[in-house]
Amino acid sequence: MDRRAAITLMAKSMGLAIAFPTIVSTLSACQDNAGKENNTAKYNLKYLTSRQYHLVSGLVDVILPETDIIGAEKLNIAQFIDLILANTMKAKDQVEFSIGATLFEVQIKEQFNVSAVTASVEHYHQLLSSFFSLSEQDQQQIFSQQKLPAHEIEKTEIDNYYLYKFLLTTRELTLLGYYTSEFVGENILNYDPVPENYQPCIDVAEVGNSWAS
Amino acid sequence: MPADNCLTFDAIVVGSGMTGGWAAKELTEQGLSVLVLERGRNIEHGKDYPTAHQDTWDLPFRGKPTQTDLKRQHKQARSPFLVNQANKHWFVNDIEHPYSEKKRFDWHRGYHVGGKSLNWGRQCLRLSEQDFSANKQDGHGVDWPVRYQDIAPWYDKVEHFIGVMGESLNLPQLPDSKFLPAMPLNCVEQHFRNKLSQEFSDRTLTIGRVANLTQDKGFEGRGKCQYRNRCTRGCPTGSYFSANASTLPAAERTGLLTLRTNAIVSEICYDNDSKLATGIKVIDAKTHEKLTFKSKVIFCCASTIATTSLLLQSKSKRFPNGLGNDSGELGHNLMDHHFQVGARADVKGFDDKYYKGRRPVGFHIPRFRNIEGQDNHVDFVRGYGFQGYCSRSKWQRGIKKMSFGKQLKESLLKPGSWRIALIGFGECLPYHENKMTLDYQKLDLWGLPTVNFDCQFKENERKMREDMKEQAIDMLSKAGYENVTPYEQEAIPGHAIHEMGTARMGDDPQTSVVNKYNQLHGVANVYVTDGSFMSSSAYQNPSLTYMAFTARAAAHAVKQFYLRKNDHG
Repeated sequence: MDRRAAITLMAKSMGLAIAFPTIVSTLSACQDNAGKENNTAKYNLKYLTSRQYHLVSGLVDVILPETDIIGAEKLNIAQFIDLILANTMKAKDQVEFSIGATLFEVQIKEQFNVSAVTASVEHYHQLLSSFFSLSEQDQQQIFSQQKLPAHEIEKTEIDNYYLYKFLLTTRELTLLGYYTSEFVGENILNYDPVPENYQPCIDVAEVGNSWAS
Repeated sequence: MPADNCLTFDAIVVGSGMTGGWAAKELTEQGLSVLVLERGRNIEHGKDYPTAHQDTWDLPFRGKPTQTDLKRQHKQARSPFLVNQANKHWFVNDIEHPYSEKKRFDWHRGYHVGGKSLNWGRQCLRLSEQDFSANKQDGHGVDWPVRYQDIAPWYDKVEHFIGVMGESLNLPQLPDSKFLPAMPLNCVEQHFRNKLSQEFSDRTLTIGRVANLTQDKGFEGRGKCQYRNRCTRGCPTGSYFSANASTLPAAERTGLLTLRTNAIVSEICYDNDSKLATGIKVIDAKTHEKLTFKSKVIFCCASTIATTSLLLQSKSKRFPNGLGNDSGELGHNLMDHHFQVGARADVKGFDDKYYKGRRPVGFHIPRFRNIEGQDNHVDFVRGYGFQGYCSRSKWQRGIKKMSFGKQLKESLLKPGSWRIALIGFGECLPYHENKMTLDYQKLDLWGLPTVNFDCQFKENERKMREDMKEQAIDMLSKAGYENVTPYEQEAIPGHAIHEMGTARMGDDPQTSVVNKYNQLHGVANVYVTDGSFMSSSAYQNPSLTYMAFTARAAAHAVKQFYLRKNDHG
């Protein structure tokens, strides 16, 4: 049942009258449909350029691909990433993301002689693999380096720094957009808006997937 | 209900939150007409909790604050959880409400009916006999003029009304409350509890004691906890205690309550002939109109920093350094708990176990250091406890990785491994030099001086934190958990949002600001019952204690009120 119905039912059973804030529906409507499935409404990019949007879309599809479970592309996660970039990120982080995106686009051209728009899923998969298939040790080195500010990075390393900034940010925002989306939260993860009680020790098999936030 | 233009009341209560609500309830229930002044906006219980029902995908940007939000609330943002989209409206705009700090002090607060009682952590721990004698024992601060037996009946009364859930342990250092049925521990918490009792003889683990209802009989207008764990957003069923759900409605029911919002109390008026306060001056927050209200009794419940600011602002010929400040201690002896130190670990072997429901509290390990009669051989005085959290990780465990594809997607849909964390909360000694002062060079939008903080944790706290970390590591290691990792952030005063002291209680008017009934020394009809009266901090979350002292002080004030009334015919 939807959460409003669940809460109303709960309140009735306790003999309480509760009022729903009218602002709830207003806020939901303001979400721009970014990160929702079956969005056919036109989305106006707020931060990414059109080419960057293609890059991000390509990566999103490789990071969390469509299988028998919905993938990130169908949930318009690239639009969600654009929204997050535009509204919540520091200017410095936005700029570094853009530099990394440009460098990645250059990589696509150099490796496959195609543009961001014409590159295929296979191209994105191959290129992302080359960046992400590192040893555990090398991965940790990258993560440590990412913690430093750009001006502390050696000139010979700076392109790599921005590339990973772009790729890791895209990956993290893909995860955020996917796992906290309404579709995944309500249909794939276990959705329990009003648990009513606490069961401290159940078998995982009873529920299977993780609880949605 | 008194007429809208009424300017005289039996009692005035400054602040509508944790203690203001209690003062209002107690005073009105005992027949006094009460004006409660709240500097912030009105909040209608249930209706004005805009994020209460929202899932992550309903929140703008999945809860992430915007850069504009962060600039507007740049000091509140020092505690990131406070300024996410679910909670940000409960905390001040730092540009409108600035303060200064000689050393970093994180002053977190919001201005609205209910105050911090709307988004508090709900932990309710009684102070013990040992806590009330601590200052006398080791000579730090001044002796409390009360002992546990004086306050115990008031803890009983408050708990009976607000509802506190927990498990009785019969520990002298942490007295039991009159508990509602305890929420259960999950399987790993049970395992940890058993391991602790096997490996240690001096400590135990219990469910955190919180003001959430596990039964609702006898709690008017409030329902049982539904395990949504969205308390900080305001609970439409009043399942945790807040002034809005509980004490203010009780005061309303008497017909004797007047609540005025957007009302900044700027001064308490003192009359030298009667040696009593006569009333207060108010600046309307919106119109800047100036008003005066009169009363026979005044309760200062504006929260620690705000109450002491008000007292410091209330200067007169008799009290040139602030109302009731003969001692010079007003503003001094500022304390806060230090926390954000402990350890974390991974727990293997329970992969087939999970839980259902979001329990709104973790577990608690009560103080086991420097307990009377025990000898720990530690190099610090006073004590600390742990709040603990134990759960299975979610999709966020996948962030700091470079995996991608079908397997990543599917694995992050499943619950991750069990993780456990111990976060210590430690006592802070009362140091005279830890203080707040008023800066008359930096006035706020209403022409009132702003606060300047000069406060830091010192040697005793530093040594205690070393022990907190070591003990946390030891406990998790002895339990057999893996990857035991210490955890420590720099301790910043104010960050725990338990700021207290600055108008401390004591017998001697030369060294304290209020007496054993929370009356200002020298101004018998002004009571100070929010955190500012605390003479020591103990380790326990303090709100329950503030409420108990408020109920006790109100009873005293009512008695005085009727005596005086009878005297004058």
